[in-house]
Amino acid sequence: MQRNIRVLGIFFIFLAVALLLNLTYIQVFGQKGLEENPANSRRLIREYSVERGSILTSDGQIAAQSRKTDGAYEYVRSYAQGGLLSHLLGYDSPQFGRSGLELQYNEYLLGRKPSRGWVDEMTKNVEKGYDLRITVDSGVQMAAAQALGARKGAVVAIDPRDGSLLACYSWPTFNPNLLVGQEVDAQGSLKADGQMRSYSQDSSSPLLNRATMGLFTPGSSFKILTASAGIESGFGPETVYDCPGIWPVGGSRVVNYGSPPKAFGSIDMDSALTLSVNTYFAQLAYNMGAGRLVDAAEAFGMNETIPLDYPGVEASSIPEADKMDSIELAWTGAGQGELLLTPLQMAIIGCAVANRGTIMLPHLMKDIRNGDEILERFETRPWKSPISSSTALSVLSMMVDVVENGTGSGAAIEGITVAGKTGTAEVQGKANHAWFVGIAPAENPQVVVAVLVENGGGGGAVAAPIAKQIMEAALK
Amino acid sequence: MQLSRRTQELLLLAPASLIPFAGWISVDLARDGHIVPGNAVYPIVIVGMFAVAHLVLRFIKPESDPVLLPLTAALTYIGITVLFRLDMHMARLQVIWLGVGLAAMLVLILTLKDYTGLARYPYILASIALLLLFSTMFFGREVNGARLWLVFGPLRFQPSELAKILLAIFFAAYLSERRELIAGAGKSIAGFRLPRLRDLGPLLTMWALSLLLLIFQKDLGSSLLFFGIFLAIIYVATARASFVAVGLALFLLGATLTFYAFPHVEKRVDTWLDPLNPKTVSGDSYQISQSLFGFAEGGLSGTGFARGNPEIIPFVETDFIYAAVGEELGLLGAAFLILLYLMFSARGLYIALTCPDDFGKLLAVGLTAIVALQAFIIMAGVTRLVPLTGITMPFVSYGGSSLFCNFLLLGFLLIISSGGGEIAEKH
Repeated sequence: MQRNIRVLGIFFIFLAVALLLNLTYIQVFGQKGLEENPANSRRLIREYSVERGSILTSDGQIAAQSRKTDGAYEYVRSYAQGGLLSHLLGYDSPQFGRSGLELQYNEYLLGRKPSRGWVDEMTKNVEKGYDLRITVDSGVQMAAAQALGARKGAVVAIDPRDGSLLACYSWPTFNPNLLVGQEVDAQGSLKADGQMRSYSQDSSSPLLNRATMGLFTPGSSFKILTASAGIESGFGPETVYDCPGIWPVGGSRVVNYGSPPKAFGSIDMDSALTLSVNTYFAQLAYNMGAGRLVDAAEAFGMNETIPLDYPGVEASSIPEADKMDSIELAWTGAGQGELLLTPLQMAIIGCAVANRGTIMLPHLMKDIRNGDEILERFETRPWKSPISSSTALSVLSMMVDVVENGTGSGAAIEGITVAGKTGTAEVQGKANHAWFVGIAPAENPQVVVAVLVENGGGGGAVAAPIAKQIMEAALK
Repeated sequence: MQLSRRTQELLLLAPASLIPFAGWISVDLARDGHIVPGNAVYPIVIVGMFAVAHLVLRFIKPESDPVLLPLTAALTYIGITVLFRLDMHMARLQVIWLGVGLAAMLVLILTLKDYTGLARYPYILASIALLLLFSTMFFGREVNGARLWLVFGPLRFQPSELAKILLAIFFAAYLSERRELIAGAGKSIAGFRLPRLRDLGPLLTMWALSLLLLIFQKDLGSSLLFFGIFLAIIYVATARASFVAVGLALFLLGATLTFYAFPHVEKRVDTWLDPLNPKTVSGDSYQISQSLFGFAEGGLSGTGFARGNPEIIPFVETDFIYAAVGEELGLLGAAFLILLYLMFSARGLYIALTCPDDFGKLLAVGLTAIVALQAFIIMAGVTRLVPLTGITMPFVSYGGSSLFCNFLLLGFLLIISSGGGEIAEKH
C-alpha cells in the first residue's frame, strides 16, 4: 500500500503542474489576447479609469479633454469646441468606441505609447495619458467654418511646405459631446444612443467627413492636373488648339459652358486655364492619351488611400486607361466623366503645384507631449513628386492668371498674389458642385486651400470667396 | 534539539498570521485611501481563533501533525481577506463559521478517542450519507440550476459536504476489510489482471450513484468528486490499475450519455470548448469568460487588492473565488494557493504512509483526496482546464457548510496523525 500512496502523490503533483502551466498560459502568454477581447468589459473600465490625454490645436487651444465623473466610468470626454473639430477629433465613447484622431492616437492618449519604464509597464501604473497637439490652427478652422456657413461642403487647408493640415472642416457636423455622455432619459435608456441613431439616420450625413471621405466630380478644377500632365508629356503652355464651342470626338462631343456653347478660337494653355475652356483640355487629354493622363493622376495620389494619419480617408479614383474610350478620355481631361475626388485629394494636387512639384506627407499630428515636454514629433518628409519643379512653376503662373484675369477673381486678396482654379462640376439632376483650389502667396506658397460646396452652384461665384477668407486667416 | 510538534506548529502559524494583517491594510488603503482601524477586528479575531485552536491542541492532541493547521490557516486567511475585500457582510458570516468549524473540530478530537471504532458501522454511515445526498431531491431547494441545498429557516445546509466525508469513511472501512480478497483475485490476460465480476459490485454501485447525482441534481461537480475519491481509495487499497481504468471508462461513458441526453450538460461542454464565442460570451459563457478576463487582468503580479473588478464575475464569492485571487493577486497569488493545496495533500498522504493500520491509511487517503480533488476540480474549472462544475474551494470559498465540514475533515486527519489506533492496540 505504501507504494500506491506514493503513486497517488505523484498524480497530485501532476495535477498541480497542469494547473500551473494552464495558469501561466492564461495570465502571461495568452494575456494580451484576452485583454483585447471585445467582450472584456474590464478593458473599458480600465481605459476609462485613466485620465486620457488632451488634444490641443497648434495654437494651444484645448479641443478634447477628460473630465472626472461619478458615473459608471471614472472619466468622460469633453469637447470644448463642440462641432468645430468633430470630424477630425472623432469621439471616444464606451458605447460606440472611438473614431477620428481619438482612434488614431488612442495608445498615446491612454499613455501606453511611447513606452514607459519597465516598473510602470509591469504595474500598469498610468495616471494620465499623453497630450496630442495637432497641426490644425483654431483660427483657420474657425474661418473655414464661418466662410462655409450652413452649406453642405468641405474645406481642406494645407501648408504645402511641410504637409501640415491647417484646417479640415466638413458641414453638416455633429456634436461629439452628445455621443460620449452617460446620461439616461426618463425611460432609462442612454441619451447618447438616441442621438447616435438620429445622426446615423439623418439624410444629410452629419457623421460623414466630406473633406476626406466625400467623393465628388471635380469639374474644371481637375484641369490643374490635366495641364500638369500635358506639360510633363511634352506639351507646353504655348501649345495652341482651335477651340470651338463644340468639339466632336468619338461619335459624341465635348461642349464649352455658355448657351450656345462659347467658342474661343485658337488659344494657348494659359488662356484656356484662365477661361476654363473644356474643348482645349479635351483635346490636350486626347492628344497625350489615356495612359499618360492616368499615370499622372496616380502620381498625384489618386487610386490609392492618401496616408494621412487619420482613420477615415477614401481613395479618389480615375478609371483605368484601357477602360477609357476617346469621349471618356476627352471629358476626363476637362474634369467630368467617371472621376471622383475628395477635397483632400484636390488640396494635395494644389500642394504639388505650390511646393515645386513635391507633395509633403500630409499629416495632422504635430507632436506628443507630457506637459511641456515633447516626447515625439511628427517627422515631415516628402511623399510624392508627380511633376518637375519647372512644370509646377508654369502651372502656378497660369493659376495666378486665373485669379487675376479669369474665373477665379473672387479669391483675390489685396496685396497678395493668389493662384487658383475654379471648378463647376455638373451633377445629373441636381445643382452643380462648386469647387475652388487656391494657393497663396504665389511667390512663396504658404497655404493651399480646397473648397467644395455640394450642389452649391458656380465655383467662381460660390467657392472662390470662401477660399479667400480661409487663405486670409492662414496668412495672418 | 528536536522541537516539539506543537512548537513547530506555532512557528509555522506565526508567518501565516501576517496574511490577514497585510490583507486588511492593503484592502483599506486601496478602497478607502487610509487604514480603517475598526477593520482590524478581522485579522485579530481570525488569528486569535487559530491561536486558541493551537493552544487546545497542545493539551488534547500534542502529537498530532504540526503542518496541517498552519496550512489551513493560510488558506482560510486568504479566503476571508478576499471576502473582506468583496463583501464585508459575507466576510463577517465566514468568520463566524470559521469559529464554529474550529470548535467542531476540537469537539470531534476530544470525543473521538479511537477512530478505528468508525470502521465498525460502515453501512450505517453509508446509509446516512445516501440519505443526506438524496434528501435534497425531495426536500431540497434549487439554487443556481442545481438542487443542492436543505433549508431550515435562515440556515442553508449543503448535505453533500458532510456526505463526502461519511462516504470516505465507508469506503475506507469496506476496502480495508476486503482489499486482499479483491487485490488477489481475477483472471490475468496479457499481464493485466481483470477484476472479478462480483468485486466490481461496489464500483458499479458508486458509478450508478454518481450518475444519479449528475442526472437528478445536475451536480456534475459532486458527482465527479465522489467518484474520484472512490477511485483514489480503491487504487491505494488494491494497487489494481485495472479498477481505475474500468472506473474512468465507465464514468466517461456515463458522462457522454448524459451529455447527449441532457441539454444543460451539453451547454457546459460547449462553453468549455469555446467560451469566447461572440454568440454566448454575454450569455451562457459569460461567467467563465469573465473569469478568464479576470485572470488575464491580473497577469503576473495582480492588480492588487481592491484594484481589480472581480465583482463583475457572478458568484465570485463562492465557486469563482479563485478568479478574484487570480485577478487581484496575479499568477503569484494563484500559484501560491496551488502550492498550499499541494503541501496539504503531501502532508495528508504522509499521514497515510505513517499510519500503522489499514483503515487509518485508507481514511487519510480518502480525506486528502477530497481536499486535493475538490481544489483541483474548481481551480481547473474556473481556468478552463476542465469543464466548469460548481463546487466550493476548500477553506477558501464563502460557505458555512463547506467550511464547517472541511474543519471536521481536518479534525479526522489530525486524529489519525497522532496514532489514534493506540487504544485499539492496547487491547
